[in-house]
Amino acid sequence: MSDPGPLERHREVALVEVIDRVIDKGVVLTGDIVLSVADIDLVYVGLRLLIASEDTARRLGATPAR
Amino acid sequence: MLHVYAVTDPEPRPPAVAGVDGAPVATLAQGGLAVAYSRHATAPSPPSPETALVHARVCDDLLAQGLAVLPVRYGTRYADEAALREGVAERRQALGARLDAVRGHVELGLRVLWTPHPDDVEPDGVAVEDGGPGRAYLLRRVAQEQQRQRRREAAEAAAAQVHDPLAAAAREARSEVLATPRLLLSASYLVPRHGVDAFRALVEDMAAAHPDLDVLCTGPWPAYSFGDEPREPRSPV
Repeated sequence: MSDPGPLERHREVALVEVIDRVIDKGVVLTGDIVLSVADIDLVYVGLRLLIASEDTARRLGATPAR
Repeated sequence: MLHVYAVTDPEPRPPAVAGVDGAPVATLAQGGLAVAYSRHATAPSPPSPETALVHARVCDDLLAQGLAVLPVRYGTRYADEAALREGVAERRQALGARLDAVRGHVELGLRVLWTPHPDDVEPDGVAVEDGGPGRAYLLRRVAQEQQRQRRREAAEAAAAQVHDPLAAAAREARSEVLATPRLLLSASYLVPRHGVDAFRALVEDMAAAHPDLDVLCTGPWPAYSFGDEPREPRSPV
């Protein structure tokens, strides 16, 4: 059984959604944003890939709006 | 060094959850606003799934206190409290206006995947007539550009069918079409706290009406996507 269960799938999708918001959204204060663009890209590019992948499409289908 | 989590209404209770790297979360009041932050002897950890979750939990805790919350983007750091006060004071009016906009509301997220028509993915083969390779290249480029535009228009229309009715039912909305080729629509809707179930029912109806689309609705979240003034016109609702 290589396919994770529905709960696990749900968790993964939720995690992607959390990271997407925390890193890419939110108020930008005029502070010292010390994070380099490279730091963000590393995490974020991975997210975009995950969201775009066929696998994720299946997961999204498996966890419809509820 | 300070790691900042959120701008919120005064006076929040210090969140019950620990901050990034286990640091306790403190709050500071400044000009009618409050800020949640943690203090670190060295630079706080860079973003990772674990630290993002910690950041999110602090924002969730503030939201659960019934406060208006504007999560701050991960990685916002100040040298000390004086610098943080100064940073917040500079944007006090804008932040106050956005806190007013999100107060009593939560964010619901939507992702809609579609399967583009196969003809829309690969550019049309262009019948090359005489005129040499330069002409053939240009014709191909024109065809590709037309293809790209047709695809974009089809996506905008398909996304609007889903997004427009939902945006009309929300106080504010933010959306992006084709962030990736399969991600037709990624959107966020600002919905009254007590209106979450009704909005989800609307999304379910929408999903049922478009069986060709994969629809995922997430939340309720603190208003991550609504820290800036809307670019889209605000709905009268």
